[in-house]
Amino acid sequence: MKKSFLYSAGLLLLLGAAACKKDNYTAPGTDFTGHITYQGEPIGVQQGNGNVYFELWQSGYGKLTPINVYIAQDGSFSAKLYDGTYRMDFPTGQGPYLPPGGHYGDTTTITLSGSKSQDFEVMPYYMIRNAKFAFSAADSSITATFSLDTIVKDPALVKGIEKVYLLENAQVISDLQYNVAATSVDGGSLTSLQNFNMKIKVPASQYQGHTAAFARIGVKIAGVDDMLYSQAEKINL
Amino acid sequence: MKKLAYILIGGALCWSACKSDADFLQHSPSNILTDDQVWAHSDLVLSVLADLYDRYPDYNTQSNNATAQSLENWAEFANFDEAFPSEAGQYYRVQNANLDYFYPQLGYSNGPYSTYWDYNYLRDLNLFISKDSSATIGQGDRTRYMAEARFLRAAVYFEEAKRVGGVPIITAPMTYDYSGDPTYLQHPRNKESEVYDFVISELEAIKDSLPNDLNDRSRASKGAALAMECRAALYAGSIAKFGATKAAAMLPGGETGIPASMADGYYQKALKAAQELIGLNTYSLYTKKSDDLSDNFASVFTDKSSPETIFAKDYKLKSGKVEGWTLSNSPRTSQEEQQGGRLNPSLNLVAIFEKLDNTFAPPAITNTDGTPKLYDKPQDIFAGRDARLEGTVIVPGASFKGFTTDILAGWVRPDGSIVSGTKFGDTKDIDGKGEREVVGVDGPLDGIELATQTGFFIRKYMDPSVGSGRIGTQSEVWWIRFRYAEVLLNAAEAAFELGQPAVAADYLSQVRARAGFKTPLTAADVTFDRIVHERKVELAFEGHEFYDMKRWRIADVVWNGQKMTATDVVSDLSNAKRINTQVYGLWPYRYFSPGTANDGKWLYKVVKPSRVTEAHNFRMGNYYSAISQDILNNNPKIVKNPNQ
Repeated sequence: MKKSFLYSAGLLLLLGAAACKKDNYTAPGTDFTGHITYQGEPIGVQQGNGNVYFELWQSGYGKLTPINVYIAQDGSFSAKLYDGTYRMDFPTGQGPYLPPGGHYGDTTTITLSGSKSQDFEVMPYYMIRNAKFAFSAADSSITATFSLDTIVKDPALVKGIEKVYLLENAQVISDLQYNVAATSVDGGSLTSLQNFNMKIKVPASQYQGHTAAFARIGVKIAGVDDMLYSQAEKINL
Repeated sequence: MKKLAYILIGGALCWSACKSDADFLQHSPSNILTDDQVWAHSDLVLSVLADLYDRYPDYNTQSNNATAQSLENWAEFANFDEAFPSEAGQYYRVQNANLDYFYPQLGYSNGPYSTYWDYNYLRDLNLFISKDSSATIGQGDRTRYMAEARFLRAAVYFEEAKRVGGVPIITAPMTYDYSGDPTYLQHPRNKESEVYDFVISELEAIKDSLPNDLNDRSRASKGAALAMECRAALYAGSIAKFGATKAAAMLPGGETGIPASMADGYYQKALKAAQELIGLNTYSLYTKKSDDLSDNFASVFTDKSSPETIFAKDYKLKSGKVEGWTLSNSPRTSQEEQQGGRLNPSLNLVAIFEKLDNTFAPPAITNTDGTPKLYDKPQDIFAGRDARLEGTVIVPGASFKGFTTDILAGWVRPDGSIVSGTKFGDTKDIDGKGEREVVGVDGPLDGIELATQTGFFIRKYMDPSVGSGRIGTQSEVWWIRFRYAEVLLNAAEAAFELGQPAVAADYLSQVRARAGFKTPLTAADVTFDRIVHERKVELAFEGHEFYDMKRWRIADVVWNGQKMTATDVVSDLSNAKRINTQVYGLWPYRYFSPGTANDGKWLYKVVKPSRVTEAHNFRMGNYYSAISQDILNNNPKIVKNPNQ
């Protein structure tokens, strides 16, 4: 009796061990990281699921479904993948930019064997240049100075500016959805895109338990969902 | 002798066995009917048609899986600004900013990510229609059945175009030849305008083969064909007119978007179809209870003898086909089970109902000096407004099924401090002046499911009959797909867009007179904003808002992802483009001042339910729903929709 119990226990153990070995895949272990850039400068976007992404396609494994790689606030991305060959595609209308050639449909082939870092050049409609933020303790306000450069100049593709925002948040993730204070200027009222000044009051709630705030500039481009952002800058209160 | 008998019996057995062998495999099946048998009997064909009717695309399969707004799917009405979902599992509807690109997607039973794309149903309809020449049933029945199937097919194409734009138009059943090459079955998408043209021409072709009467509103009639034609033409017209304002939603091949030059043609078709329907004189606005206009408006939806209903999805008690709208949404005071109160209309909606002098004003909660305005009765704040308000929404103090609702958020002391409670019908002894009820039996209680969290309950489609709130009985109130008032509003919009504001004013005023407005609108009053407003208040909770906002191309302006303030909710009420991203409520309080005349009077506060955390964000990619990757993989000729 005891013997048969031992045998069956041993058999079960053996089966269990064998099963584990057979049917589990290893987790994807290759890191694919990089930035979305224009002339080497990362493009700031709103981060979060359902916001800005590009697609990676891998063929040869049954049904074709893209892997959506989401872009973080500072323009970086990272994905855990298997080694192999992928095609990278910018979906139409995603992001405050056009693919490098200005038209959609061109894919880039990426071969992964071991972790890799790669930047992708795009053509943003605008670039936020020389963004400087200054905090004034006297009237507890943040002043932003910046210029906007028009990058897409082709008359068929050019888009106007709908609104320019100055946003302020207690945490580094700051965008039109997550902010404590925001102020905006209508695109129509802009006379020049150079040396802009925008000012925002830091709300009183920021002074309770916070030593710093984060400020960021956002540009809503007419007819484009995703806004263009500057990098979020930390401001000591 | 005995031997001979055995031989004879054996031989007979063999002989009989051989004889029946020939028919052995020739039994006709007793559990299915063949095509030929069905198509020889009118009744059998009708039962095939009944199945096709049942698959009409206003809702899809089980309520838990479908995302279409319908009586079986109350929570879908809480996706935008019309209402708040007071059920813990549905709070996500007010906590996600971005709208999924697949919205309105099907449920998981149809594959996780797919919008409405039902070529199985279309194939069955095409098979049905292809029997026209071979059927041996009587000519009269056959003509009507074929017209009905073509009506349903037009409905499917219209519903698909509403969601994804142009789709492949398939009008004959396709069959695979097992050659290993399926490319001849793959069709590219037609232009969006071609789908609308197809729908309009089909309905135009069949309308005279359908009966023109009120006998059976769950089957297609001439009125239903005209109503659908009118709606489809209006949609196409507005997509053509406003499409250019959102160029990012247009595909170069015309699969989405319609050239602006076609707008007038569609508006003319819409107006013509509407006027033909009006000219039939079969339908009219419901006015049976003209002594109480709010009750009259509520009865439009529950009275099945209403001359206003053109085409409906019908239900019947004790038949297995019942709906649970009243069960889901009954206020606690009148509920028949331990549940209800789920769908809470928003202040955003309530505030836009006009005053009876044709002006807009939010509910007055403060006096001019900033002090709270006190009312003798809770309903007084809504007095003198559009009768449709109380026909659509159960406001504090209104009654349902003979029970007066008990909606009370707390007592306000003269210094502004509030005494409230934490449970339904909570009582407290305030300042030693005696026990008082501090929370109504119906709520409002923030974050407590099945209580009202906005201060309102839904009235539209609520069944006042006993048993409608019982799980075992439920309701047979029907879901109206087309009704006469919508046709009038369609006609008004088409006339306005064609530069005939006086005609538009007349149609609008007919609808408004039924709602209690004494002063008709003049031609100068009719604007785009006015038309948008009228549709929002007349057709709230009828599944129109999302598609209307899309076709006017203002969805991305109204649901722009930016948070609202309590001031935004009640300002700029007549503006069609006012931001409407978060649901607000209006809670009733009572004034605590024992011994004075003001004790127990009612005052109101604007509140945002704490479960509302995000602002609805409609993106360019939402103007046309995403086509599932499976469909794209199976048919490489299908092009993707923009911005996805």
